[in-house]
Amino acid sequence: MGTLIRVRMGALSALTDEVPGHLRALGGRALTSALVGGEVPPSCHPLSAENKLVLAPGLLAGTAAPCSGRLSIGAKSPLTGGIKESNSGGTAAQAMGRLGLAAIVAEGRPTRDVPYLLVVDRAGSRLLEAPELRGLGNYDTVDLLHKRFGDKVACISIGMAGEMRLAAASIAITDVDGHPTRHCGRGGLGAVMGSKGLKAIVLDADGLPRPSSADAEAFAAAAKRLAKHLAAHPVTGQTLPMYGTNALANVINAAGAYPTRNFSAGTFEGVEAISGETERDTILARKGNPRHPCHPGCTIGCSSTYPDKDGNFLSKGPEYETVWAHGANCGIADLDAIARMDRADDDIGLDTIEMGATLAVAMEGGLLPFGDAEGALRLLEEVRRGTPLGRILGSGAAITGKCFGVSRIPCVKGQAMPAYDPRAAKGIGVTYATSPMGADHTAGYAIAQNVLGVGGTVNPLQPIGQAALSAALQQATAAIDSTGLCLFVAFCVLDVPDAGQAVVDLINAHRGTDWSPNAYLETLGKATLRHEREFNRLAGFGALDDRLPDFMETEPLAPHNSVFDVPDEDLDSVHAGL
Amino acid sequence: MCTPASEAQITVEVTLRSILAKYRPDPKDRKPFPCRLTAGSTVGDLLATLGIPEGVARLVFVDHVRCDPSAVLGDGAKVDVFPPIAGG
Repeated sequence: MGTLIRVRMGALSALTDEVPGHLRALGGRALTSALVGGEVPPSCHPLSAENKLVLAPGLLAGTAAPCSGRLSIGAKSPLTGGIKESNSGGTAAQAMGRLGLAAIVAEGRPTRDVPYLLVVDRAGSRLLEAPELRGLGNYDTVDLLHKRFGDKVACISIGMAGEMRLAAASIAITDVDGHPTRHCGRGGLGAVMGSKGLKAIVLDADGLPRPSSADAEAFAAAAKRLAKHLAAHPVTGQTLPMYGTNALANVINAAGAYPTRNFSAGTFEGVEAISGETERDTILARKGNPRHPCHPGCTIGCSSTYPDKDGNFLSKGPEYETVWAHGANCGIADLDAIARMDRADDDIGLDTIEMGATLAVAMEGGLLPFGDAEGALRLLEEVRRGTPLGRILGSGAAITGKCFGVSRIPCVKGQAMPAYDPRAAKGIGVTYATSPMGADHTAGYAIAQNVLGVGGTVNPLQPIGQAALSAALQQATAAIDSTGLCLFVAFCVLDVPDAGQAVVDLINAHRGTDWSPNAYLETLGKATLRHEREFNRLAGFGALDDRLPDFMETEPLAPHNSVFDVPDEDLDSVHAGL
Repeated sequence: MCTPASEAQITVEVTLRSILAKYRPDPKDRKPFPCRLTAGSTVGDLLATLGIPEGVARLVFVDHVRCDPSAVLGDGAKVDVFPPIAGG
């Protein structure tokens, strides 16, 4: 089901091909990792012609399944040196589903230094020179593309950071309002796109029908069940729609796991000023939209639009991770400044987690004091301009830490940790350490059981049980990431068994498979992790790469005064059952 | 103050978050407020005193440690109460 477009940048061709037979059951992350694992030499330089950028919507893309519009992008990562999959909402995955596309694979490298534009519509695909897009931010890029191709197209683009091939560069996807606010942020995939000379992709699916399902009646019934469960669950039906992801700020702070001033404390005295409650009040007072879907068909609507003080659109409501990265982690308690940094990151094309972590490391290194919001904004503008300092910062927290003599560098496999301190939530620490992606909370979100009481409870401060928890979550997450469903569906699935069955029923009804829940988990979850682990092994990764930085084991974190003490044997056991 | 004084008492500092605002003494005031309880009171007793129905307050942290309703409160404890919340 679905076709594949191979974009050969050396030959400047874009040809439609069939998905190889053994990959036809796959979508999303399972497909990107299988293609990268099968076609990219693990030892290649991530910015070389040998690397490939693979874009794949999930198995349910384009359908009426609720919350099924995530797009996975994969490649060898310039940030980690290992395999990478990063996924995002936005309008592109549903457009690819309607265009009948299982994947787009960009490979090779052009001989001429010209930005290229790939256009895909019902007539086929074509590669165009686009010198007018050179050096533009994502906002100006999509403005030009919408003027040329109409407001209804979905755009995938890189900003200046991607064009400069910086390791913190993201890939932007337009949201339902046409803004480039949704990003495949992690792992520097924007740099890979930049190395291909590919500035943007335009997807025009206007007027095309949804893809047909093998059993339309069973599909509709399963979609209705899942939608009903999502609406009834208190997280996906109430608090996420009302407060967005940043409702977590006060929770994680209350748990003492809110990394503050470059992971030097677990609580932030300014949390109230940057909390989800304050964000919602600010948005409502300025007449922004407090509930905004990140992709068509999202029934949760945890995003929002954030106006400036004059009521004009500034950015999407900054997500929990973004608010933390530029807020508590930098000692900044100013939502407006954080929203401006979010806008700058989105426009320049930077991962907000990596950049917040980078700014905090720069502050620790003495480049500017903690709490200096205007200084932080100036540093982001250095990245935009491509100054030598800007290029260092745009290469991420690990490189910046080295350049400024910092020893507390919160990275695993070169990728910065997100907004949960592993010393006060040890399950997420296991995920950070052992995910093939580097430090990534979404790869196995143990915060659900460590802190939130979703899907059970595992004491966050004890090492016992964390490895088994992370292992199960990493497998389930790899499967969810392959369906195109938003990971937040998992909060409901973890609590409501029939919601999980509805997910499997949706895939079977749409694709004509007869997977049991175990077959689903094996094919999309465990097999994907095996591909990813094997790629990393061949790229030179070993057990010592599945560890947290030393300071996590030696510097106690207030208020619990705890260190990360999950034994190495437990970390090494996480993927033993694959 | 949540309850009238009687016998041996403790005072805890309570913060009610997001949709629990309606159970605050002043729903618009997000700041922590003191609550007096009989010594030996539990988290469950506190929630009952505040009129918060069972299951509505899914997450309770006492001095940064997540506690279940049977946890006994000490004098001066800081209590953060949340509805079911997740995200990230």
